[in-house]
Order: sequence, then C-alpha cells, then structure tokens
Amino acid sequence: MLNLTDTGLVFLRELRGALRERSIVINVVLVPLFMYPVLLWLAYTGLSFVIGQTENFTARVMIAGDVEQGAALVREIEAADRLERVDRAERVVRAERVDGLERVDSSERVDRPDAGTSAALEAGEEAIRDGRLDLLVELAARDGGYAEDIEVRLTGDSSKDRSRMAMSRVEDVVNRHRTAYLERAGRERGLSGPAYQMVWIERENVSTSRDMGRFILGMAVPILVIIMLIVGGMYPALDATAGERERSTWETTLTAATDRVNVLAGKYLYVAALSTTAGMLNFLAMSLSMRTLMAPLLGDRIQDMSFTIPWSAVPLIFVVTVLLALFVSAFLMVVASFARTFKDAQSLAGPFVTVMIMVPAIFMQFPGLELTTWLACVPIINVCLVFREAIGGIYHWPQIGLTLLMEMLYIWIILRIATAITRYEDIMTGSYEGGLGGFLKQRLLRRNPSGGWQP
Amino acid sequence: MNDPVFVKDLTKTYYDESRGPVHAVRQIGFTCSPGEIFGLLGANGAGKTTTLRMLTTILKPSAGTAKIMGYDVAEEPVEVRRHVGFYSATTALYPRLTARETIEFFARINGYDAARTPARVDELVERFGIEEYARARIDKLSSGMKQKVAIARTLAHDPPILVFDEPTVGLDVINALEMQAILSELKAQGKTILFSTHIMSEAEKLCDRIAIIHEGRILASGTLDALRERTGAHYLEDIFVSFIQEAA
Repeated sequence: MLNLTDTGLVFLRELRGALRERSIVINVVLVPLFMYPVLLWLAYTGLSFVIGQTENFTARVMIAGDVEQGAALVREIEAADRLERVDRAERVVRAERVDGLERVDSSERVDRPDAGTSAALEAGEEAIRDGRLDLLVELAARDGGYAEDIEVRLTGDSSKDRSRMAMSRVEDVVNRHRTAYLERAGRERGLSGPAYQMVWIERENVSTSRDMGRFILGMAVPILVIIMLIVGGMYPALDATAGERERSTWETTLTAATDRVNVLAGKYLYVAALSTTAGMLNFLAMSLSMRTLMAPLLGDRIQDMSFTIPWSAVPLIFVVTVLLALFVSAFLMVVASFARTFKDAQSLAGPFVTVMIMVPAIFMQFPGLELTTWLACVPIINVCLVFREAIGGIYHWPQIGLTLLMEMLYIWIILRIATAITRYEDIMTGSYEGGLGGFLKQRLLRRNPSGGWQP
Repeated sequence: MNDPVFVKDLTKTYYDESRGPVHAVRQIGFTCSPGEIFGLLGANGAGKTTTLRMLTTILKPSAGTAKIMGYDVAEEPVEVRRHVGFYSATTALYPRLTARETIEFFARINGYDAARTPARVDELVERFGIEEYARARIDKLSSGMKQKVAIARTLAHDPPILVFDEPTVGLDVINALEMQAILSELKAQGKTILFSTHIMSEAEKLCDRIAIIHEGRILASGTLDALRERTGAHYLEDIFVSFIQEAA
C-alpha cells in the first residue's frame, strides 16, 4: 500500500535537488520555453530566405524548333517575368575570368538545337542535367492545323527545383497564350467564355482563417511538445536511477525506513512531473509564439490567419500529455535502472528515445492521418493524433477513449515490470550484468526469479 | 530473544557471472546486548559488509534469521530500518541538498515525528558543530564536514541500534579519533552499536565484544579478555592470526 507522506517526501527531495541542477532546469524549463521557439524561428526564417531565393531566380529557357510558327508564343515567353531566353548554355562562363578576359570552353557550349536534330537535343538535355540550362522548349507546327496551331514540348529535370519552377512558369505562359487565343476566337464567333470552354472551374476555400491557423498549429505543435516531453523527462529519469547509483546515494536511499514502493513512486512522480512541465511549457510557448514563428514563412498570408487553440481542447490536451509523461517516465526509468552510471543510462536509453521521437515525427508528416481505432492502440502516435485533432476542434470520442485506455494499459504494464525489477536484489544493488532485454527474457518470461540459478 | 540484535545461521549466497555461486556469509550467529559495542573484525572480503547489509535490510538473507528489536529483517524490513541507523564510508549523501535538508529528510522518512523534527535537526546540527555550513549544499563541503553530516543523518530518527560499517576508512587521524569519540558517546547514551573494522587497534579500543569473521564464517567471538584466554596471545593482531591459522 502506497504511503503518500513518504512518497511525497521522496518526491520533494528529488524535486528540490533537481531545481538546483543547472542541466535539469535548462532541459525542463528553459529549452521548452525558449530554445525551440527560437530555433524554429531561425529555421523558418532561413527556409523562407531559401524559398525566396528559389522563387525569385530567373529561369534559363532555350527555345528550339519551329520558332517562326510559334512567334507569338515565343514573344510572350521572352516577355515573361523571371524567364530568360538563352541561345546557348555554357558550363564555364564568368567563373573563368582572368585579367578581364572571359575564357569560354567551346567544347562544353550547347548551341540552340535546330528542330529535328537529335544530337543537338541530346546536348540540350545534357545541359539541363548538368544544371547549365533549366528548360528546353521545343516548338513544332502540327500537320493540318490552323495557322497558329503549334505543339509545345517541354524538357526539364524534375529532380531540380529550378527546372520544375521553369517548367511551371512556361506552362503558365502557354496557358495564358491559349486562353487569350480561345477568347479571341470565341469572340469572333460570338461565344462567351463558359460556352467555348464547356467545363468551367470555380474554386472556393471554405476554411476560415482560424481553421488554417489551427491546421498549421496541429501540424507542428503536437510533435514538438512530445519531443520536449521526452527530452524533459529523460535527464531526470536517468538522474534519479543510474545517476543516484553512480553518486553512491542509492544505498543511502535504500536505508530509509519506508517501503521501496514509496521510494520508487516518489521518484516516478517526480520524473513524470518534470516531463509534463517540459511538455506543457513548450505547448504554452509554441501556442503564444506560433504567429511570430510562422511570419517569415507565410509572409502577408499570415495577416488572415488566427493561431488560437480552443479552450475546450486544453483539458484533453493536458490529460493526454500527463498520460504520455507517465508512460515515457516509467519506460525511461525501467531502462535506466539497468545502468550503473549516467553515461551507461544515456547509451541504453538513446536508441529508445530516438525511436520514440522519430516514429511519431514521421507519422505526423501526413496531414490527412486520422485517429482510427488501430492508431489509437499505437503508443505516442495515438497521443499525437488526439493532440492534433483537439487543436483542430475535432473529437473522435470512441478513439479518444480507446487512446486513454491503451495509454493506461501501457503504463500499467511498464509499472508491473518496474515492480518485478525491485524484487531482484542484483538489479537494485547494481550488480546485474545484463540489460532490460536479458532481464525480460531470462527472468520475467521464463518466470525464473533467480535468473537461471538456484541457490 | 530479547536482545536488540539477534542473528542465527544467517547465510548469504549470491551468483557471480564469472565465479558462479559465491558464499559470502555462512551460517553466522551472534547477539548484541543493549548499550554494547559489538565489533565484527575481519580482513577485506571476509563478509563483514554483507552481514551488516543484511541486518540493515539492504540485502535479503539466503537463509537463517536475523532480528532487530524483535523485527525480522526478511519479514519486516521497514520496521527494522525504523530502528536502525546505518553509516557506511561507501554510502554518500545527496549532493544537491543542504546539510540541514539531509538530516530533516532522514528524520521524516524514518518516521520521526514531524512536529519535533526541526528541534531534532537543531540538536544534531549543534551537537556535531554543523551550524556554519548547515545551509550549504553537500557537494560544497569537505570530506570531514560530510562525515559529520553523515553521522547526523544516521542519528536523525534517534534509532536504538546503530550500524557502522568501516566508519574510519579514508579518514585522517583527527577525524578517525573524532569518530571513535562519537561511538563511545553513543554507547554512553545506551545505543547498541554494531561496528565492523579491519583495524585491530580500533576494535581493541572500542569494542565490548568482538567477533572474528573470516571467509563468511565467525571463527570466534567474545570479550577481548576471553579471546586472549582462548589463544594465549595478548595483542588482538596475534589473536586474529591465531584463529585464522586454526581455521586454515
């Protein structure tokens, strides 16, 4: 039976010590509050700079083939913003300037290919692959077509941003050219726009500015909060187990006149409390700073967006955060209890922490992923999804209920393992040689309390 | 059975990956009377620490019985710990707590009355001359200061039985002598003290009765005079060697 007074004494003793440890305070309070928002702001600012650079570059387009037939289109391409018509692509141009003289390697020059010259076209494609050219536009008159009828073939490299962008810009020019031609031809025949186009698309976005803001919040905040929760719980978990053993204070603790369950419960609650604190502080910081963080990335569009989290979602978010903190804390403490030093514990816990962060991070990349019955059974991911949907004001209550139940089940299983561990003197005193895997295999699953040895 | 410490056939066997089953303590037995200093004298690895760890419930006996104030170490470990103060040179203090917080924590967790705890802490702080650094973090203290705080935390809940495992190991002469003085003072207060050492002069000076332990077995126990009488030797060193040779 748990003695709450003793558990509280251990909890307060751990907490008091932790608040005097700089690395714990940094990991649990300062990093969630400041580091991630600042890091994200820097990342988004950098990203928007890179995107801006890509969007504003002038694409090099080579036009080949029947230029006479497509003269009007060619003029529009030449006049288009951020498109530059080039007649040749050179591997080395200005980089090789020596004493004001430009050295051009003629063997690498690709001249504008003439239509039908396959060798020249191949050279153009090679220039695109090499990055000397962004797009090759081939024009060809169609047999039996109208006077302005022309076939356009675009050759680019989809693996390159510049080339994709060039293709998109030329497609826009071609579409505008075609629309202008159809409008003109329709007017000449007395037809309106809808009449000659047969199918007419009108787009309307029913999402409000609040919806868009919450969508962005839902994509970013849950996974960051969960990362913080894991990182915030890791140091205290390792410190309260392996760290104590390394400092030789574990034996001191074992002499306390209380049931060991109370000692472990106090330590466990302390780790879970710090983990929850790290998660919730990060949630608060991210919620308050999201507008500022996203501003460099979204530009003027941010003016129409609202980054507010519905108050009705906060209790659910808090509950799942606490449950996840309890799960992560129990798991990390169990893993670390097999380590003799803090460093050992870091090595043991490191791979698990990576998996706990990476898997949900990958899952959360899919904006359309919903909390299904199956996903409600997958630890951590279920909490991420509940979190994300709650931010968006979506509540799949049966799956939410299942998520809560499954999290509690996982916590119960880990605590059962932790209780089993306390029965083994060699693990408690740090003389056990194996790890968690060996312990589960040798002792729990085989139900052999002596680990294969009978006294 | 009314002895504060009662030990009978106490055994500890553990498994070592490289050595196999290791018999650290083999069917030892002794009792301690109230207000007595009982010394366990043995070389390193003789089984002294394992015995004391079983008596303070850190380790569970493989066989045999041990009772502290009538409480069985295997069946009622919490009650046993409530009546014992354990001091060891190898058990450290929480580095991030202050001296005062450390004493207070151990008083409370060991069941000392919450209302009387501040007065008890003050008393111990004064008794051991800790006032100056009572509010300093443990990790900022010198080893001599830490030793005093460690003794104070051992006594925090005013236990009737005190277990000291090699208390003078690593101490300089001055601090070792101070430790000996503290043990004598505690004895005078009526505390029962179980004390392990491998330093013959210390055992000779402090102990009312001595048990010579070797390879997990108690070879002999009794007062120094009784041991002298059995071996015919005067100095404890000679007495000790005599029993070891007899057992070999």
